[in-house]
Amino acid sequence: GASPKKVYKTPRLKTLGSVK
Amino acid sequence: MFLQSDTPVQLVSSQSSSVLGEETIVLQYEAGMYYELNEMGGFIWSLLQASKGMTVGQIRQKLLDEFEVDAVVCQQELTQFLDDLLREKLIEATAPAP
Repeated sequence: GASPKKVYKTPRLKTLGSVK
Repeated sequence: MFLQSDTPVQLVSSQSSSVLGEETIVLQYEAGMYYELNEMGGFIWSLLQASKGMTVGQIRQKLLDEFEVDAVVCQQELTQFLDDLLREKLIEATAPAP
């Protein structure tokens, strides 16, 4: 009856660029 | 700063974010930089938005509760991700309560 756990992925931070 | 399980972390005030599909886009005003978080990064970001001063251990437990992941892998990858956020001045860590 427990809800199935979600698929895990590695958390990532990606730099998109500089506003300046 | 070395992140420990009882280290509280919070979002800095000089940021703004928006969810775009599965990704989260974050702007850091002071540095003038913008970033993209993947779906899992966005989930952690949403936890930090909802609760100021959440500890690393509390975030880890949330991930373990909701996702199918090995505890050791979760700890390593969460710490790496939070280190990245710290380095880019998107979050700040405070000293654990005595």
